[in-house]
Amino acid sequence: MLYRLFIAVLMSFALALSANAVDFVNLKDFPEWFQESIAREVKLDKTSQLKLEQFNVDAEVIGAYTLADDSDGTWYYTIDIGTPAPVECYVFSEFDGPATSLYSVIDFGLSGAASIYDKALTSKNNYYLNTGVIGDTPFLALDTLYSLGEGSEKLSGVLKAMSAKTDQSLQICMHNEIGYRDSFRQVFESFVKAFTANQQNPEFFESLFKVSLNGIPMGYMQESYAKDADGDVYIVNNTALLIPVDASSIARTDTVSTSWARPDGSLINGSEYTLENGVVTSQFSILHGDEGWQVEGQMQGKAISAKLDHDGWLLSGFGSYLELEILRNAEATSGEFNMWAPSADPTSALPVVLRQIEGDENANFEVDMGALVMKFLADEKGVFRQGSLQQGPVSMNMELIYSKGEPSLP
Amino acid sequence: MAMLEIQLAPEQSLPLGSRISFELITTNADGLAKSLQDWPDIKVSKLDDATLLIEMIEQALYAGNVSAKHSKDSFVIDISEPSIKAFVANFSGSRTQSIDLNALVAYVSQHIDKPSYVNGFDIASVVATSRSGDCTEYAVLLTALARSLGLPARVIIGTILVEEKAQVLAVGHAWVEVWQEDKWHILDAAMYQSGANKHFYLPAAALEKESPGYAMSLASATVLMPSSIRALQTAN
Repeated sequence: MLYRLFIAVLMSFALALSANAVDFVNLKDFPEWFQESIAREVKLDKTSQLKLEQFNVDAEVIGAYTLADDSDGTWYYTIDIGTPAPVECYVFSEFDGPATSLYSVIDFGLSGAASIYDKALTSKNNYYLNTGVIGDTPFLALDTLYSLGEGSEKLSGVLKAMSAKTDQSLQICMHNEIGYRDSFRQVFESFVKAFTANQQNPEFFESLFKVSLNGIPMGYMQESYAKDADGDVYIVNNTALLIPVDASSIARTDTVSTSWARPDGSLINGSEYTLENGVVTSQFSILHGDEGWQVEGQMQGKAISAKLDHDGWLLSGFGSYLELEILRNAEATSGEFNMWAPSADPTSALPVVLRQIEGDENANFEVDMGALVMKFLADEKGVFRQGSLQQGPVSMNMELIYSKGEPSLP
Repeated sequence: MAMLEIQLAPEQSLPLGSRISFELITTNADGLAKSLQDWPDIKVSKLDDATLLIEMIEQALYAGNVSAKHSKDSFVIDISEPSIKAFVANFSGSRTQSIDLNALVAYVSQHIDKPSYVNGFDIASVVATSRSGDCTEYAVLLTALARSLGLPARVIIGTILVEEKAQVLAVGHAWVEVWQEDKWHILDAAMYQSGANKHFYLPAAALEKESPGYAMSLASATVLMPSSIRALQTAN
């Protein structure tokens, strides 16, 4: 949990220096026909049986499916839901990430629209951005308002798109129609559930947070904990952020980190990579050898090879939950630890203080990372319900939108 | 996201004078007041735990010392990288100590021909190649150019107050301080082509850490930035 904070927090600080504010579309600026069209929905009365053996998928789904293409680890379906344009859905077995790939598919969809109508793409605006959960699977949603051509020949449209990563694949759907947002969401949910229906879930604890920056939901952080036969804990963290930096631009970040921890919460090893705007901007691994903690990887294309000054115990993500529980039941009100947080500094161990606080109905713990102090509300099981950071021009909030199990070994 | 709420004082109209005052709302009043001590043309008074009264001119110059780190090849300002060397080699301006600082700004401004706000924080060699970015990318590339030409330089994180014809904007920003002829100068390639009337540079802190751990230094500087500005007026 603590480990992942740096990704969103530091990204938000970096982008706090971008020179434009978010400027979502104001519907009142549009003609009446558009306002009416944007609110329309369709009755979803068609269903299909979707089968995809590779991902153990065999489920009834909403809409009339046609497999339009199947090549190179990508499956492309068109889905008739009773609207003039079909919903288009992709399954990718190899992909960049939910944020990065969603943006790429939207770009592809806009290019396709320009090609179909033989008109140049003349404008695009961020129209709607959201994140949420389907069962236990997080999703991202991004709607884009666009125009093709100029003057009296100008055409406008809304391209809705959603992405979700399931166990072994990525699902992305888009719908190039004004309106039908809820209908589209239902079709996408049905599509994703087909992939999760037979999914194995060995994790003893999972949690999923919606991340908002300055009041705008921009993505999620997901963590899962599973135990192996030796009792060690395998931790997977996924972070996907879509950050609107001006009216038409979106910064995309996908980060995946995996680590192993001992039952006492100490780190065994770990790795992490981050894609920013389609580029792998960092990739690290850490392992304790004869010489101490050794970090290898690359950052912005430069090789990184470093031995940490700190040679002792490093707190894992699992360990942070254990320490929270210890703190809750101890007389001491704070504890000091060292963590490896490559988003903050891949070459150092970061001192972190976990502290109990009182008198705040929205928080009972804070994490002090030096320059950054984040407050959390943890429940009686130790699950973080919400978190907030208010410093300088940055206001970041995390809201728990899904959890399963407890952050302690079964 | 980077736009800060800003309010003029009730009786204040535009244009502003060359010296302004305002109330700055911050989550770290003591930290910011301490950081601003090295800019003597920025007068700071603490009104309460969350509010500072600031009085300043457009370009308040840093009065701190120059040191070896301001000339160093670092992870962020990586002047030994081939892309930086090629970028510097194409600079056609004077390379003496009396170098025209404006020429440096113009060169960087022209080199970054794909401005974009999506970049997180790219290091100088990446910017030299991508020719893309926002204020932070302009600042690291300009710092690399200055150091490559023998001028000590550092990246500053802060807030810029931009006075346009009908409004004043406050925006999170990054710029450069360059040491020449025994004093520091403010250079800003990102705003080189700005048509605004005035630009007031309110620093938060320098990017002290230029190693792979620069992100925490960036965060430390950013948390010193204000959350809003009010009662902006021409100072007497």
